[in-house]
Amino acid sequence: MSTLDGTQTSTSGSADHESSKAHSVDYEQLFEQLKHKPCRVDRIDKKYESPGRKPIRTKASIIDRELERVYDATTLEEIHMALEEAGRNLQQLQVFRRLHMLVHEEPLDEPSLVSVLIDLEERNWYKLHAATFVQGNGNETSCELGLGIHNLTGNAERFDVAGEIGSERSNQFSVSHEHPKPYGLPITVNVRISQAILNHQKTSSYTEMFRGVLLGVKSFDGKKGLEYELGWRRLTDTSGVASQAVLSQLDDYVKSAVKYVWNAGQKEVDEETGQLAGWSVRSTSEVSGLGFDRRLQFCKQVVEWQALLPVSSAVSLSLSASAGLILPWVLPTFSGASAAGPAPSGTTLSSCIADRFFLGGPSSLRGFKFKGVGPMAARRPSQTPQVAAAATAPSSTQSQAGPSKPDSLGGDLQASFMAALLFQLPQQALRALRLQGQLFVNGGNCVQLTGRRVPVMEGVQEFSRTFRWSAGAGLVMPTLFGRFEANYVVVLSNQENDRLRRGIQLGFTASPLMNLYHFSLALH
Amino acid sequence: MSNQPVLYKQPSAWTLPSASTACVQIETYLRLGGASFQVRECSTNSKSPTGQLPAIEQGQDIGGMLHSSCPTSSSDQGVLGEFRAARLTIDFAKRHAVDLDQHLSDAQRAELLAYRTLIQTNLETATLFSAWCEPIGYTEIKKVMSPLPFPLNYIIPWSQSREVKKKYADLDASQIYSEAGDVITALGDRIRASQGAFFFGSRPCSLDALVFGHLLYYRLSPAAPPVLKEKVLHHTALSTYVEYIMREYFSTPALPAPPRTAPNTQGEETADAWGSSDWSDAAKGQKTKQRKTEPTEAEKSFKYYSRLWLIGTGAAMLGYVVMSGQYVKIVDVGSSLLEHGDDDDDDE
Repeated sequence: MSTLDGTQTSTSGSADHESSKAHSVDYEQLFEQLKHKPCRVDRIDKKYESPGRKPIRTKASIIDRELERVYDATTLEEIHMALEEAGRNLQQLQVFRRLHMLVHEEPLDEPSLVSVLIDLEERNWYKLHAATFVQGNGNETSCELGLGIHNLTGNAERFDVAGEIGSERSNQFSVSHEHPKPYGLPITVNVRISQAILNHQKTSSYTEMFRGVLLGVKSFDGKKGLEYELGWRRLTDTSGVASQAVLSQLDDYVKSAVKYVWNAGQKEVDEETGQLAGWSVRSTSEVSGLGFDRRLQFCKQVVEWQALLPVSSAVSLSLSASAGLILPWVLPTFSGASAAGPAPSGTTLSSCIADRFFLGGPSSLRGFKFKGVGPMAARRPSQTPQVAAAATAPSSTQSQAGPSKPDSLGGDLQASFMAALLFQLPQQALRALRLQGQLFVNGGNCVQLTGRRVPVMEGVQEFSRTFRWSAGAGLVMPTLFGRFEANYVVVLSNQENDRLRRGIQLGFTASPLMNLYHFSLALH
Repeated sequence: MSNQPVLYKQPSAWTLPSASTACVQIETYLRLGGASFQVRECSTNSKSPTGQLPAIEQGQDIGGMLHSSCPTSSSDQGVLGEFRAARLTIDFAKRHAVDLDQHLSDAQRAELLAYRTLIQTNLETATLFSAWCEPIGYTEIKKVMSPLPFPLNYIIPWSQSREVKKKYADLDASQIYSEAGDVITALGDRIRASQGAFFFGSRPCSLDALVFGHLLYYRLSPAAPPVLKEKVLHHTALSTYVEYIMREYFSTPALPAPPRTAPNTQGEETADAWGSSDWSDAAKGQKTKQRKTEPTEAEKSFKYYSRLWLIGTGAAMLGYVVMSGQYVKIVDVGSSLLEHGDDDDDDE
């Protein structure tokens, strides 16, 4: 008898029923003995349940499609693998609360035949979701509320409505529809209409409004995805303090972009230390400016990598790195020149500030403030009524406001690197709180390559010459969504305009990749 | 950074210095004051340092900011905020460039404030309404915005038009144009009565800038309503006033004489030089037809029962006429045949 619940499996033969009463049976060993024996599935019994004892909504074809391979299996091992894959695929639909698969040794008169019992329970068709994010988008606290309608027609489709409001008056609203495996294809199709208003006044003196539609196709396992986004982007400044560099960026744009995302990763338990080890990598490639607005023509590439290497039973080495590059491109017209004249060189065109990279903060470069690294530009003095009233004095020719912090402009080339030694704390109470200690070295840089009328290579040389470094020690509390950190940081290398945060720095690192640290705690 | 003021305005269109009346007002103010300034043309409000057009920048200071507390509020921004932004930029120019009102007496300042309120209440409404709510006006405005990338050249004017329509949904078009026409007439009479080329004598003031912006729009813009266009054209003092300022301060050739067409006394639609066949009746200066209003439930019920009573009354009258026998005789054919048959038998 074999059971499949998730990925765990145990087997036992019919002849051992009597002996199992007398002593325990090593099912794994028994399975190893029997897995290559000829074995076929005679029938699949189905026990489907739904909340409220109603008939399940999921169409039978959706489930039967995943179980087709089971009938083709000729050995117990193949049956196990087929059922494992079917269970994984059905779980990925996210419509079942419970999924059990039981392999019976029936019919008893045919030792090479087995039957399978599929026991599953559907989830509710609706799902409410509420969350609070600290240090989310734009380093502000936000609340999110979402309503999902799942599997209403039985095709495992998802219809979600979500809204998020931030403490800095940012807000995002979206309506999305996701359809997994249309016509049995191993892909998921999704459509999303969204509006986002992102307030970057504190760091860069502009507010971004984006209204658009996104069409996406991704592989069923989520490792690869291709999406097209078309939207209206508006950059404005109503505070009147934007620097000249930001002022030149304010406008209405049409963003038409294709993005390709590729993920890979692996995790395993290290045999020597018994700790979790793994790595993950993500590559994002984006090409924008397809057919609508030449001002947003750019190519963007981002690579993120993360690895966890056990050193001993209580110490792990965590490595992470990310790099990104954005460069504008100009399409030649039919006459070989743009309507406004000869096509300008790539360096004189400037990338849009909303697409650039920013560096600084506990999630990218510790020891520096959020968006505190990279090109900066002086702001205009505050134009608030009080300051304006002071400026109306006949003798004053200039606003009397003091100097304000500069605008962070972001960069076209960005890289960051972190190496941290994670170790268990000696105190049992701290270990019970899942706290870990860490010693780290963090480095990164962000430079602007475009819009400066200088050769690109000079910008690259500046990138290597002005690399920032910091080091420190602190406490880490891994969670499901990232790591909460409290560090004491020492800045080892910085540039003149950087905004530093020396001493104690608290923050939440929302890892975009698989959070390896969370899984490592399961073994301690 | 140069200390010369930089004026952020919408691009020029229709031989006007700017497609936006508010931008024309602030530019007129600067030209009337003889201030040297630079111009930066912005296709949308987003490019302005204040997020609103018009705006003016001098050194580190900027004028025309609406000081909205919420960066995403649209109630006072965009098209609906441009005239307020113009007033703020004029106030800024008074402080930093030239004060055109310093020579005015107290009585003249009070009069200026009164006319300014009239312009704010009536002319601004008529200008915005004709540009964004009238089909012809909206079409012309969309042409000005056509250089924007697709689909922004449709979305942006549509969203702005929607804001204006929402604000003026409760107003009657004929009343808007009627009141604006009255204000134009009053302004024309004031200019005629003035001792000089401007409202308060031979020296211009801020009122001249505010008025000129609207008059130039009505005079030259294809988005202006015909009823107000004719008002400006046929008022000699106003036409002379507009031409004088354009000639002296904008260094452009004399205004082209618009084609003169006799006013249509019969109220029939004609395709005149401004292609006003799609203008509303109010924009053409005609009385609007009485709009057919839907009857209320009480009226419907009244009509229904009235019909029933009439039908009942008619049936009663008809029945009386038939049953009285005085006008209609009802004969039983069957019994009469039987009577005739018995008589025949008797005869035999």
